[in-house]
Amino acid sequence: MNIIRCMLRKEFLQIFRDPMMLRTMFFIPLVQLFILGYAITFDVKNVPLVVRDADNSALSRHLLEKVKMSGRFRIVGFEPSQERLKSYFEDGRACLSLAIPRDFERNVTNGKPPAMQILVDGVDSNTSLVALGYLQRIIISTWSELLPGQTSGARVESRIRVWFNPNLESRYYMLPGIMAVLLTMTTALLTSMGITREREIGTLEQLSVTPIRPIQLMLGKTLPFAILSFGQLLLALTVILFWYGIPLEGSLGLLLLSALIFLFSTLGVGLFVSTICSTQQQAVMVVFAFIIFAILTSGLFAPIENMPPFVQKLTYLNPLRYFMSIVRELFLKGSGIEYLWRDGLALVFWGFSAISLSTLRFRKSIG
Amino acid sequence: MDEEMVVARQLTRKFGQFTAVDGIDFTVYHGEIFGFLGANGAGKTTTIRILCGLLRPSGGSCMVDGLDVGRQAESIKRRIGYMSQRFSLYEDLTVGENLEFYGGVYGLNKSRLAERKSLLLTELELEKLDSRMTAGLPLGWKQRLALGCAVIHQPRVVFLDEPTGGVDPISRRNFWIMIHAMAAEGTTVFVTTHYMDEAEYCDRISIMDAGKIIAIGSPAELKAHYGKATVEELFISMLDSNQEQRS
Amino acid sequence: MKSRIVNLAFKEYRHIMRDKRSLVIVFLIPIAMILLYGYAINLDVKNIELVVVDYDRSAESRLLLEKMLASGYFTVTAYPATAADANGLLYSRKARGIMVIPRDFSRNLRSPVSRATVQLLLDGSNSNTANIAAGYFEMIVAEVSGQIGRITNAPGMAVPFEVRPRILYNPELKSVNFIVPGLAAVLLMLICAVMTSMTIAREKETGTLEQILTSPIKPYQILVGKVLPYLVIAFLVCASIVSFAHFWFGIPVRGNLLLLAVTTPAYLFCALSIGIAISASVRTQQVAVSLAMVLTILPSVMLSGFIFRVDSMPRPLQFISMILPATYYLEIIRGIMLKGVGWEGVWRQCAVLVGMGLLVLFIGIKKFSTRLD
Repeated sequence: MNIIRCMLRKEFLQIFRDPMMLRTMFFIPLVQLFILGYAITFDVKNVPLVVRDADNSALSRHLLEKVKMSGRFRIVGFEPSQERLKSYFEDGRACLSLAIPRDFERNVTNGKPPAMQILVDGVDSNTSLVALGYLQRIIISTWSELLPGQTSGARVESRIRVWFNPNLESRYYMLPGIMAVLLTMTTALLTSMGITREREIGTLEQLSVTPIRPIQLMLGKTLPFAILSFGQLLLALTVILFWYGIPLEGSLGLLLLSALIFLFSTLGVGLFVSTICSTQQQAVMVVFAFIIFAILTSGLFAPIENMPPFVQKLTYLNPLRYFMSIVRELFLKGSGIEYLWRDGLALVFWGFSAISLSTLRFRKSIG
Repeated sequence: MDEEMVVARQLTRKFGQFTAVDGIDFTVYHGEIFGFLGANGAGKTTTIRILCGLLRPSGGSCMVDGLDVGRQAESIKRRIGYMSQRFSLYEDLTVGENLEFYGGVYGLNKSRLAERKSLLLTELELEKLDSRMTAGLPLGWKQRLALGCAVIHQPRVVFLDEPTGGVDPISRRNFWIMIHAMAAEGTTVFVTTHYMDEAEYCDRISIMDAGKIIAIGSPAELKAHYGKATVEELFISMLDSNQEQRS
Repeated sequence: MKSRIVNLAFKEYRHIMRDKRSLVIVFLIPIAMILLYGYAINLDVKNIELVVVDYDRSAESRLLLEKMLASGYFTVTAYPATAADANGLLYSRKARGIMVIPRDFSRNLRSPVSRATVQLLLDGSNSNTANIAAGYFEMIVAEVSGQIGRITNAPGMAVPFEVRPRILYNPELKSVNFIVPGLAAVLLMLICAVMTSMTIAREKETGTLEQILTSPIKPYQILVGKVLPYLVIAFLVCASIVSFAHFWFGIPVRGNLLLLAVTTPAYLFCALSIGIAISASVRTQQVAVSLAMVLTILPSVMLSGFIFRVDSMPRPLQFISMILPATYYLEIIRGIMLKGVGWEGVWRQCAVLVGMGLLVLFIGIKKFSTRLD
């Protein structure tokens, strides 16, 4: 016990003497949270639109006015030539184009459907679809309010209500996830580098000659980061809850508990990586590889259900996947433990295996 | 006392096909300063690492302070001190903190640690440096600090791997004065070195070449036996003839 | 003078080659990531799981359901008897939406008012998919409106105009085409900035930098010599990513590959300069890496337009996006690969990259010289 305390004291001395370390653990993740909270949005607005209005009538101008007022689009130009429309897409000046044909107003008042052409930049397929949908909806609604006579006849209307995130705020969905990712990154990276550094300098060898036991050495090197990461988590939570005002529907206690369990896994990963790498550069690369794998298969950017079955099976190996889903459930749905216990158990199992495996390897690599 | 502190019998260590340590025998007695000499690549560092429990022997046996290195490595670690070539200090800790850390690791309680620390700071002439950051220290002082960290727990045997590498002659001499003081108090010192003048200070020396020990005895005995005036001449001629014999 | 740089470059090259593990990772990671990305990040939204509560069970409601299923966007996993039964499914993630057809659906359609509603209750936790699902739903309902008329013998509302959307460059709307080229931008930034940021810091830590500086070599020669091998490696990685993207995922390469080969080094140069500048400013590798990550990778992934639209972000973030090298390279690589643009479409971005690179390199060299004297 005394030895561990001794190690902890040394580690904390070293950590607090390194100004960059503290900045990396607290200041920088904080900044990221702030920035990312505003950057991460799947919402579609301000889409650059180029218009070709061959009619230039009151009706067409009214339509364009409506488009502008919707706030979803930003008209970047009026291009008279059909061929030159494409160039807007090529250099990225526009994402959508709307071409209003010459006899637009006349045809409409005579009841003949005019053909409007919309070009969509399909590269960003996601946004394209949504933007297209918005444009179509604007056109339809302009239509029905302008010419009510034309809209007689049976009609089905859809009424859509959204649960768990009524404003469809991407932020509610993404920020808790980002918090989880930040946690993963700092713990795994710093733990693995910390140990590898001692190996590079030579103090690890020195320690091997002392009576310190591998488990004590391990604890000594991981506990400080565990404690600091927990601090980081609390800080991030504060930002999310109070700055962004994202409500935590579920139990705070459960959140903290699962975070604790999750830390086991990430520390275990950092530990494991340190046993297979001899230099810090290698450690960084390996941890990066793991982190990228973890982020991609965690369901942060894209839902796991979308992935092909083979990849879905892979996600079971990812502790972040479980933590991510717990965090989101707690934030958005306020789910109780009846829904979360499965993920929680998986996390415990993962953490336990990670630490045990690493301890075994660690023991071998030292003595 | 002629207690046997370090005993190697047919000690062997292979790395794949390469035999680094080839069946060596030697004994180091209590309170001795034993100089372990050899050219680069002769197998000195490998031997020391085996003795410290960092490597397992491939063959033969090895005892330190009565314990078998192969099977009781962990227990041995409490009783030995080790100072590596690289000094292995924490640059971002102060002198005092380094000592306190290693003291804590060796399980010294608060009062004993304080006692040992102040004693060592005095003996190693580092008194004013307690709160100086290790990073900025000149090499000679780091060397003494490393020695202090190696003996803070008063081990019975101390292994020093090229402790004076790159240090100025005056610091070297002072270092050896300290080593002598330790030996006089009963600590057995096992030291490897390149500096032949330092070898003159040892009670007994051995010369290692290509994994084997080709000479062992006190400097005086060996010099007389081979008719050389200094250990340096002895060393060079022994290695030369060994090379010839091998080819 | 030239030969000194080459000499240094060779030394750095040998360092890299000997660190087999790192090398393997440097090449393997991009491939692995592309595979993962290509398959894992499927932002295409389809097979949205719905449960349907049909209180009406009429011909009209069945028509509506048929249309829903036929679209391919939705699958129906259950038909609970009441809405209350269905709610639990939303909580337990067994369904992403509940479609409720009210009891008087067909009756309302046949009445003189002839207007009926159908309700969709969506799980909004993934706002993106929810948004798109809502859009699909509305689209399908609008289509059905037109056809309902035929069954009820009431004049159905014909869609009053034709809107012909045409999708350029990516007609099948495969998100993989969008993501994978962007991945090249991120990966290259990773390799260049992070790896070079560590290399100088490492020499500082081990003390070998001092050694080199005592020789007549000038600081800028050291930097250039260090950078060259990484430039080569990054280029090879880029080539392998593009080949892989094309041959494995079938991502088209509509533009001129030569153009890509010429413009990519501009980006690499920029990324490498950033790595160098970071390296020159820090003392330990740990710090170098953290800084590199924060300054390059994270912004590149989040703010460059890689996944999230820059237009939708608040102004200050749009400014940040404008100073990120990745933003420009994304336009270049997507433009060349997917849109087939020529030099006119990319020269501006190229110029910006080269300019940024020079500026940052200059800063780096300055920091390098002063730090060590």
